[in-house]
Amino acid sequence: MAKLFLFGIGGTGSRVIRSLTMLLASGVELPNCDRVVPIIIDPDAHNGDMNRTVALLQSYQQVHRRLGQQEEGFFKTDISTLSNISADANGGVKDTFIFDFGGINQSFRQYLHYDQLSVDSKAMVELLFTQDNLESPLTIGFRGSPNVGSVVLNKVVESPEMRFFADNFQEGDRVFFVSSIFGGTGAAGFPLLLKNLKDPNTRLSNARYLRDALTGAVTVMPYFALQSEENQVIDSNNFLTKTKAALSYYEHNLQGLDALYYLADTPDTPYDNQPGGTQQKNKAHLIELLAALSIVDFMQYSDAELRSGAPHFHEYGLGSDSMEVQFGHLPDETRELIAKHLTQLLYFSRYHKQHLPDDKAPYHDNLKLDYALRNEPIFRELNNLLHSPEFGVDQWLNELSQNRRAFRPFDLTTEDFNAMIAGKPVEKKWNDFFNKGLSHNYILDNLNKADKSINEPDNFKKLLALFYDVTDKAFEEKVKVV
Amino acid sequence: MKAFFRFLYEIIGSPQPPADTPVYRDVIFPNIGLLNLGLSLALVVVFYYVINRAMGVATFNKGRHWGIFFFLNAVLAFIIAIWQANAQQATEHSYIYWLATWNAVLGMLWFFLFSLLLRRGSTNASTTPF
Repeated sequence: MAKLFLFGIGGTGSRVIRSLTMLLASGVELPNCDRVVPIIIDPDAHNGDMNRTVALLQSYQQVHRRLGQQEEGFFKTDISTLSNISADANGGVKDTFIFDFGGINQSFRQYLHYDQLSVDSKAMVELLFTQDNLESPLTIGFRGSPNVGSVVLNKVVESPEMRFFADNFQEGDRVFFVSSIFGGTGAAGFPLLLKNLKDPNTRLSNARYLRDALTGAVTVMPYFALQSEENQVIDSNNFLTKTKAALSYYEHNLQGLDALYYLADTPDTPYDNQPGGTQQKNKAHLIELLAALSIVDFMQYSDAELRSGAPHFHEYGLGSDSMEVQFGHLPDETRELIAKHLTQLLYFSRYHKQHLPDDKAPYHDNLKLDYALRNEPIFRELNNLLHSPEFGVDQWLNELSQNRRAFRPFDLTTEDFNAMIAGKPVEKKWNDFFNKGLSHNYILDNLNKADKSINEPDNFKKLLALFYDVTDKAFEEKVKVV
Repeated sequence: MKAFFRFLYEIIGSPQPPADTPVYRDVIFPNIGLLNLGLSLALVVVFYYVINRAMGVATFNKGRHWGIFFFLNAVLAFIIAIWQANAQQATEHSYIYWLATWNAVLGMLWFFLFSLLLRRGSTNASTTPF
């Protein structure tokens, strides 16, 4: 059973994993692996972006567990925590998606034991780090300072999590890194982790498998700016300088990669300048969705393709430039990959909210939804996953549509299914008296039909299968192309 | 068949058909009985198979919609009985209205029974009325 180990490093890592989870929830295929194991590496334990990604992953995991293996459908791909990949419960690894830093509740100065260093060493430390670096509390991460991150993250390789990961790494497993190049945690963590995993002298087990494993990475270059405020430690005016410095390092020092994806965008409206903590909760951005697609793209290549002529470098360009990206602005390949699935997910989420609780129909009666929606925990979990104002699908689509550049393929203000795809309303035929395009009646009729044809005793599994089939049919019959 | 419909329409025992009894027993009972059955079956087919399956209408399947057909069936059964009595030139008598009412009740019974038997084949009303 091949696995994809996905290292999401820093805030960008968390946000990209959030987008990937949404894509997988919509039914996007991730070939060449049976299971994704996200490992979020961020010392900022209270980071808002990370915590809502973890909440989403946990919710997805519960839903997928109930659904089990399926040929196609929403939540098809298995997402697992590191500790879940092995039956061995004695690995000393917590059942979580987050790498456990054990709470670095100290400043960088304390972490280095600065006061116990020799005079020469102190001089060296002062040469490499500013006073601000030294006084920086590590509880909120590295605040855009890769020089700090590269010291702290070196510890990662000696951790029980990394040993557990290596112990359970098998031939055929792949590794992918997600990081930003202009911050602190990602910029420091990615090359460091890669170097340690590919190190021929590593003390980790399964070293040969690790060395030979197909490895990809997406490195996100600046795509947002931060509000310039006095006394703020992160200055987004330095992002480009830091990117250049890091790229120059990558050029000569990245070894062992089979594919590297670069993404960037011109920053528009600046974000609130929050260096970390619960307040660092940035709106989902198109770049993060595209970064998530780089993971899908990487997994679509066969072993042979990736190994021939590696490393492969990829960049991404929109089909046509727009500050409000709709499906029509995406290149054909991307559109074919996501348009139908995201539309299906939107239809499902919308119907779930607008009509499902009040439907009076055979499918509703047969699935005993009146009781299940109110009382069964898995149905409540699905409700959270779709509609939670923190981490739900609706919220994610809203954020994407509100950010700059906006990803706005849907009109999220309308309740009319015919008008939900921006710029591509479903045509209503004049002679179609009872089925006004993609109406409530149309969906209801097809739900009832599918209810008769799908033979599944579990009401939750059947509900998801019904909606996947019906939204698939709705797209094929009514939307056709976007 | 005549015996069956006679049994059905005289089951309560009173009131009995007036003097021209043979017309009722030989013609009117079988006619309204068969028409009533056919009408109920037709309305059930229209509700469950035409509207809620062939036409793909999925929002006309509530209990109240079924109730509309149920009472429509009763009204038509009532009218059919009066029409048949008049058509067979039965003597004007209050019994005709009693018979029409009884026919309406039987119509509702047929409609209910046909609904139970046939509803499973419907797409959108297979759980209507309950």
